[in-house]
Amino acid sequence: MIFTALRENSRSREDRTPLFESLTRNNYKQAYGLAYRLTGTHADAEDLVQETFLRAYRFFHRYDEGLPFSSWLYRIMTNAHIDLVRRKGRVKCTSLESGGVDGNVTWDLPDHDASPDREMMLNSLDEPVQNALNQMTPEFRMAVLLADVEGMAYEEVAELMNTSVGTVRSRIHRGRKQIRKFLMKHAPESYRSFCNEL
Amino acid sequence: MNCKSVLSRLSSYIDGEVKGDESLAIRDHLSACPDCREEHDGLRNLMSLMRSLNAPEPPADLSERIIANCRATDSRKKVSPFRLPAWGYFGAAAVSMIATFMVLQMVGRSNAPSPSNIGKRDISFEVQRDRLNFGSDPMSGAPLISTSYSGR
Repeated sequence: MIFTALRENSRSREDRTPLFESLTRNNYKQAYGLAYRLTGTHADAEDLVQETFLRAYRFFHRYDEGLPFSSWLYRIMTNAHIDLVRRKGRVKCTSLESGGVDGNVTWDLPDHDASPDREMMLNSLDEPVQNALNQMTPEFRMAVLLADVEGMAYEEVAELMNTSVGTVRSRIHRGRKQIRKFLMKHAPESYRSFCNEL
Repeated sequence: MNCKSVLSRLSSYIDGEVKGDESLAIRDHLSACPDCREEHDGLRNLMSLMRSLNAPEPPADLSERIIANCRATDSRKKVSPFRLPAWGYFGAAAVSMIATFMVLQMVGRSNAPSPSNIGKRDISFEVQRDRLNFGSDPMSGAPLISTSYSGR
C-alpha cells in the first residue's frame, strides 16, 4: 500500500511537470520584478527567483490548482528571501552615495500613455525608492511591495506572510511613512514634481 | 476621532481596509483637519508612485534557465549512486531489522548455559547460600547443614 502511494506520488509529479513549466513561463517576469524590488540588485534577484522556483518545483505536488499560482509562489519567495537574508547575515543596504542600484539596469516601458516627462520623472525616482526599500527590514519591505506593487489585500498579505492582519497593517503604514520620509529627504524635487503632476 | 487615531489608520483607510462607521469618522475628520488631510494626500501620492514604478526586465533566457535548473535536480537524483528510490529506504530498513534480530538471536544462544554446567552451578550455589544463612558450628567449625544434597 505504501509502495503504491509512493509510486502514485512520483507518477503524478511527472504528469504535472508540463503544467509547472507552463506556469513558470507565465509567472517568471512578475516574480523577477518582486525579487528585484526585494533584493535591490539583478544578481540577487536572479538567485532569489531560481531558489523560489526550485522550491516550488520540489513541492509542486502540494500546489492546489484551484488557487492562483502567483500567491503560492510569493509565499515561497517570502520564506526564501528571509532565508537568504539570514544566510548572508545582514540586511542589504545600498549607500546613498553610490551612483546606481545596479550597473546594468534595463527597464520595461509598458505604459505607452504616459507622457515622456512623467516617464523621466518615474525613472529618476526609481533609484531613491529602491534605496528606501533597501533600508527597510525584509518583513516591512515585503508587506509594502505586496500591497502597493502587487495590489494584494491585507488579508492576503497576512496569509502569505503567515502573520496577523494587524501586523500587516502596521508594517505597511510604517513602511510607507519611511519611504516617504526618505524621498522627501533624498529626492525632494523629483518627488514634489511627481506629486504635483497627480 | 482624534488626529492620533486617524493618522494611525490612514494607510488602511486609503487601501479601503477600514469599513462602516470608522471609515465615515475618518472622512469627517479629514474634511475638518488640514494637517491630517496633508498626511493623507502624501501617503496617497506615495502609493501612486509605488504602483507606477516600471517593472525591471529579467534576462531573456531566465525562464528556460529556471526550467533547466529544475530538470537538472531530477536528473541528479536519478544518476546519484548514493540515492535510493523511495521504496529502497523501506527495503533497507526491513533488511537492517532482520539482520539485527538474527544477530541478537545468535548472541543470546552463545551465552546460554550448557546442561552440564547447570547442575554444578546449582549445587555450589546452594552450598554457598546455606553457609551464609546458617553459618558453621562454633565449636567444631563444621557446617551446620549437610553438604550432600538430594543424593548428589
